Amino acid sequence: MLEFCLHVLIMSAIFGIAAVSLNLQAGTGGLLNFGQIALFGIGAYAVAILTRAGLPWPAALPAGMAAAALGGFAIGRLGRDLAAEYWALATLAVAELVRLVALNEDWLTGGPQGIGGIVGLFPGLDGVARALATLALAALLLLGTALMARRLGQTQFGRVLRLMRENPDLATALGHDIVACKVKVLAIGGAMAGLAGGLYTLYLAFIGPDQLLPFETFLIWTMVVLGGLGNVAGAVVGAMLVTTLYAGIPFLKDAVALPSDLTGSLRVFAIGSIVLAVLMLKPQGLVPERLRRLHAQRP
Amino acid sequence: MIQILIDTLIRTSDLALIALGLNLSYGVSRFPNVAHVEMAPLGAAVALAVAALFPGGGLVGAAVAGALAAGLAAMLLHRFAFERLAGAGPASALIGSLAIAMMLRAGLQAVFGTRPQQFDTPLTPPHDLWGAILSDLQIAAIAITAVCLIGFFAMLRLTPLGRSIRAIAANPALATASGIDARRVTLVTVFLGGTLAGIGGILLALVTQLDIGMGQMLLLPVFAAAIVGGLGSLPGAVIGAFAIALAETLVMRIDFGLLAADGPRYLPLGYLTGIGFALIVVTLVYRPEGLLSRGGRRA
Amino acid sequence: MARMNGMTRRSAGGALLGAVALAMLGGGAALAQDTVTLGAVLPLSGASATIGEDQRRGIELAVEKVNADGGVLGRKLAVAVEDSGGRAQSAIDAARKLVSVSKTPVVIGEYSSGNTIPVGQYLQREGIVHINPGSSSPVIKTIGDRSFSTIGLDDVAGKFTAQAVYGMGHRKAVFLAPNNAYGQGVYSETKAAFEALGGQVVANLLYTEGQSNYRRELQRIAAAKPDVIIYSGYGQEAATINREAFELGLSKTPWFGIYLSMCTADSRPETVEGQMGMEVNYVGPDGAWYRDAYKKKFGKEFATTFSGYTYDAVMMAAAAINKAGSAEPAKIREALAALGDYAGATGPIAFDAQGQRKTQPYIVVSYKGGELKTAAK
Repeated sequence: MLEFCLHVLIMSAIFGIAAVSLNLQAGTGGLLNFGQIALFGIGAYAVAILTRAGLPWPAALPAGMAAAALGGFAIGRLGRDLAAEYWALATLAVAELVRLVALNEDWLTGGPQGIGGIVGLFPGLDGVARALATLALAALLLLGTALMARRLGQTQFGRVLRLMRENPDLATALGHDIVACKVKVLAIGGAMAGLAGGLYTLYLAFIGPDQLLPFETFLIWTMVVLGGLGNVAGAVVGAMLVTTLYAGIPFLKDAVALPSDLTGSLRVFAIGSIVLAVLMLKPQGLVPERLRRLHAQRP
Repeated sequence: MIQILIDTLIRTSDLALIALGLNLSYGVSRFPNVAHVEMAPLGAAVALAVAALFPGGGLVGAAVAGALAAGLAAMLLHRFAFERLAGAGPASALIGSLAIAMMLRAGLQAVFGTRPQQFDTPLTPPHDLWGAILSDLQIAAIAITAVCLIGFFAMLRLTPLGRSIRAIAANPALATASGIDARRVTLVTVFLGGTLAGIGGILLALVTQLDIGMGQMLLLPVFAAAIVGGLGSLPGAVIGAFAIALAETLVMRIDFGLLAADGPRYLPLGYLTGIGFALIVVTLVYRPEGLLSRGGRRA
Repeated sequence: MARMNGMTRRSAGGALLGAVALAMLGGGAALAQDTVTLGAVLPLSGASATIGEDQRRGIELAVEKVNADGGVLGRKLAVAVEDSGGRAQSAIDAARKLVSVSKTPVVIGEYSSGNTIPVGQYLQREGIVHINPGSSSPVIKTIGDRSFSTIGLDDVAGKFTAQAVYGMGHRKAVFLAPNNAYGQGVYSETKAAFEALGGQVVANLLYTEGQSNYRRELQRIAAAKPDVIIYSGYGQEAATINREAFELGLSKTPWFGIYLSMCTADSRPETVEGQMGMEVNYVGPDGAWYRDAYKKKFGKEFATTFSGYTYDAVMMAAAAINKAGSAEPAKIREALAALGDYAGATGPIAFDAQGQRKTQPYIVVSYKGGELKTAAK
């Protein structure tokens, strides 16, 4: 049981990083990125490919972050003058294209077989010790990411981002370069998502194209929306909640005796209904954004 | 040449009604409803169940029952879930619709099982139309799609209901001010959208078989069609479906090896589904509001 | 009023979380002392749900059989089945739950290589016995000494197919299979074996699953003018493909199905009449009992080929537990490795040094008059 809980915490921390990244883009900057899993995936695959080539993980992880930052930069450039919802759907399309490349270019990505047998984190340790070390690393990185996202939100840049979210025309009128802001926040968010992806690969010692399905993006979105869009703590809470839910729902099945041919549908149904219940009962998320006055410090 | 046209038409009729239903609902509810595509397997499953329960009722009766059930489900979901969710913003509504889609999918799987099911229709030898081959059912599916489309657009142009729908899609506040009961018309519109998706699902099940997971598989192509045509644009949905069908059919037939010495070289099939996504990206770069849409480009 | 409302809402959310937490704590204690519980991780929901459900049925049949024959170590056998949803992360969550909460000494799973490999690697690290009943990627070999496969990996199936097709006199083949780990693996092995014999694969068509129609794929086949179409697909895709091929007049070309019962399970009989194919030994004289048992229990033909492998996995695990006289993972591993030739539903099973199924007897079958018949070889 202890190990299982540690595992859930590690996964929460990893997805917490991805959720903080999305929250920075979507919550603070109002950029509805529905291709978040592509940034996560670029980091994950980059780390897998580099460690397979013999690079140690402390070197591969930053490289993965850089690759994902570049990915974020690219989708930021792509959507220069698109309205928010169109840009959102364009990112979904780009993410699917990234997944198709991962699926079809087997010389680089292992194709549908994925890349397995990666030397993971702390190969010297075993069992609970290894899980604890991994958790410490993941939690530390989550903390760093969250603090950085929070600081960014408080800086001048963060205020411009929020202004861009609430009123892009006003932001332009005040002389801010919206495109530059977009690209910058996506590159930063990309690096964070890449970090999450890299950790994910190193922890599970495997990455495959099925991990990049659009459903995974929706999952990260669910974390951010449940936690409360626009709040860093909310993203972390949301990630913990959703991860625990996914890991915990199978236990509900053990508590109530049900025919095992209903196991699959029950699990999916329970997750859907809990997410829906939280959304209906607390539409602003569990940790709503504290409203700041946008014009407190006009530039 | 005729074969390309026929293949394109078949694929168009697979997508057009469901995409039209999506854009119709989007026009009045203003958020991309992921659960919409689940109305297709729902309608088909109900139709199949009715056909099995009342063998004397005939195929048409079963299909009408299935389509109405899909419409009713869409309307109830809108009334009891989306009206409330939409109040918290499009992101919440989208995640909520994802949760509902999961619940619907799980419910369908629990009730109908995972095995595909077929309507009891005769298998007829194919026809050869100037070199293009197609079956009776495929002709019927294309014809029914065409009739539904013509009927729908006639309704939209010629009836008071159609005028109300267009008024609300264009400007809800103005429509309400001029005496239209916006809420009632919205519910009717959502009902129509669900019915269209239900008919689309029934036709798919009729031509091949009912796959209870078809909603998941249809999600991205249907959204691609809706986006390429222009979110919320009704003729756009149909044109988008046609554009995607045509692009897929053409690209898969282009011989990229014309200049190479060693025989034909085609795009690997693995990228077939990517064509729709590439088309989204290309469309949005050159026509940021989709092929047909009222404004979408940021001012 | 608004404040009250907020309170009730918060407590509603809290109650939900509390229920999950309670269930998490209570779940482990639910196991009775008089049962030996094994674990299984299967894709019961998601894109591979049809296969997962069939795998579950194999387990159900095996558990009934074992308990009817007196159980294991004088106790009842049970298999805790967890859903992976077809996601690697959920699959690993499920495996961790089985190992650290339910304390199962053996975990059977999964279907897709992308999930089986990380689950197997996790089980290997934990010292738990892993039995792979559904993935055929060669990477499985490298998981480690705790990992066994009851399914023959792609190289075995590919070689058999190539020889059978070549033996029928076909030289120019097209290959049609799903673009996933299974399809790609079986394609590359079959192609290599077929070309080594002197044949030629003129087109490989790895299709995306779950499309509404496959006309574009099928027209490429028509353009290649092959002697034979070698194909594989799961129930519903195969049914769509067969129907459209029939309607396009492609059924005049000989078709050879890899795991033909799976390819024809949901297809309309007229569309697959006369197809040849390779199959696990279910339809052969010494394997037919399993097919009959399945039909009797579930009232239908196999939806996929995969139920037999989970059946054999459970039966072999039970045999190993009885042989070891213990339900300790380490002892079960030793007993499994030393089990020797085992007569399974999918034919005789023996493990090689890497715990993989050494040989798998396949047979050539043909579809005639609505059912599969063993073809004279």
